Amino acid sequence: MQSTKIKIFTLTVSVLLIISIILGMGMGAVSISPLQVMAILGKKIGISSGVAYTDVQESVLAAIRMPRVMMAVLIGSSLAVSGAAMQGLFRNPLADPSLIGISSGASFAAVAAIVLGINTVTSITGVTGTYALSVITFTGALITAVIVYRLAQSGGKTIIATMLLAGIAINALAGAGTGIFTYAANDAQLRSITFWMLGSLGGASWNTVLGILPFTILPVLVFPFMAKALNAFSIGESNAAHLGTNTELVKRTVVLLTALCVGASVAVAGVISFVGLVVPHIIRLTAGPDNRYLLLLAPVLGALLLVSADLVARTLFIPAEVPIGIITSMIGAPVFLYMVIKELRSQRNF
Amino acid sequence: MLNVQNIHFRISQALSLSDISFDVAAGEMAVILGANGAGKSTLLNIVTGSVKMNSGSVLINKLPIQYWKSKDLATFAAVMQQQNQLQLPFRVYDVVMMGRYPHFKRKETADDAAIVGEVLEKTGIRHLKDRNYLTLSGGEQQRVHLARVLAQVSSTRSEEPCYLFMDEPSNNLDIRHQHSALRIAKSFAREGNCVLAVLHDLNLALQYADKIVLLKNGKMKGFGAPADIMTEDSISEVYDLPLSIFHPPMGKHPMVMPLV
Repeated sequence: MQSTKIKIFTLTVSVLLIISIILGMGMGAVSISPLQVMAILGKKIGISSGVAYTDVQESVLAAIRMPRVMMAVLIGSSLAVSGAAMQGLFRNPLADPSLIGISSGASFAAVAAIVLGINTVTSITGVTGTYALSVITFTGALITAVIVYRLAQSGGKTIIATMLLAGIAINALAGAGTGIFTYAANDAQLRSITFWMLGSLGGASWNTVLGILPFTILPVLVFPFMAKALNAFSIGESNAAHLGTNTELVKRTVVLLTALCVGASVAVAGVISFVGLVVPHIIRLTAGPDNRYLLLLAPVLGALLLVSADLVARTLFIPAEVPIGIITSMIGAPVFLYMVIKELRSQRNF
Repeated sequence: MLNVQNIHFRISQALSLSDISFDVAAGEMAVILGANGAGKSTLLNIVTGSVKMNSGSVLINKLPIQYWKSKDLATFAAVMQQQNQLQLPFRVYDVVMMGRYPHFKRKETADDAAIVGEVLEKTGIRHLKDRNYLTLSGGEQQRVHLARVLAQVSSTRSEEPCYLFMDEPSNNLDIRHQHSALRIAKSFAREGNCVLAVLHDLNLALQYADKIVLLKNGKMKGFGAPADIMTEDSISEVYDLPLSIFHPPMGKHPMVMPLV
């Protein structure tokens, strides 16, 4: 019964992901029909079809749309799976990299680097430039992740209120810091600061895709192997240890890989909030909290969410683009509120 | 067997565990007794390896606890803690199956499923197996964890004994389930395993323990069979309350009653 439900859910999400990818590659100023998208993709791997398309369509697809959709897939899947792993570590469904300040720590680091004119970093172009900025954002993300984890742990328990309050404080602090830098910034810098604070996939190119590929693919590949350990974590860290889990290794891996992919995605796309919160929540509602399913499904649904959100962001007010972080927040914030209310109710019952 | 020798551990400025030695042979159930704050849980944490002692030794199957890899230890030693925090809506069956985690890699085997079925039956929670753990009462949750630790130490094919450590296993349970939990622990011991439990209820201790470890302010006041260790004088002193032990005419076991 449960497993049939999970199979149907997996199939539905996968089909929707493929549809959203094809639509995402087709929609925009230069419109390419789904059939043409498939024909062009087919040609790239050596399958010819009778469908007609123009050279412009082909080059737009190859140089603009494909990297953009790829970037949405990479960032969406890694943010979603990291959120799920974070929640396993904190033993609570409200832990999300953007809520607890990891993303803003990363974006603050990026803004600081840009305005303080660490030219050696920002002047590097191409894949290496993405790597260099990723290192800075990764450092910001790692520092905040470690601080929040340390603050929220007390005697082997996670104090959820502390975790969320620490997140608020760090978000505010990073926001204030970013605000100060906006006064010191020139026009060009200002534009990129807004970009980092609200999130956008507009800067996608094959270089950025390659730049974030290793950091975003790692959590997607590694976290599913930690499913059992994270399940055991949910009954408490010491209980997990008595079940033979190497708790130190689990903690370090989750914090490190999360900081890595959050850092990389903030470096190229800015802060995209709530993906790590909403996706695992939806999966738990249908497939239950078992990390053995959650960590496999989260990347698929995360990719679907971000590809669709980007599609909305691009097409809502053509030719203007809405920052994608706004779209994900509009979906995520209500879900978050609902979860907080539910959590408060369940605490009152005991 | 479990062998504890000369444990010393500073808990706080005012309280230290000192000079604690006892052993639990295969087939035995030992119970740690003492007033609140006597160091019972800390002692249990030291014996299970969660807390590192300052000096002394704990031998499990003749090997010092610190030499055991937690992965290997988990296949034959389980710990039931006083507090269990679970905030995610796992099914009861899935929580009990966590007890089998040390025994399989990714997917549970038919053996694991059979063992989980057995312990659900034994602990009387089979009817709850598809329920959301978060919706259970405190006592039901306690029984889920009892089932989980039993599943962890069930049917390990080994000549050596398995170990069950329990901190307050009767917490939250009504009188029927208190006795059923301790009967389960005792019969597990009788299968050639070692059980070490912290208990508050002196009557449960008198009825089920083979050995008693009596603690007061971190010091060991006695170790041995209940009849030898639990005298009116010793327990009155340990709990700082006048206690009387009497033998009810219809019962098999002596009983403790406060004289206040």
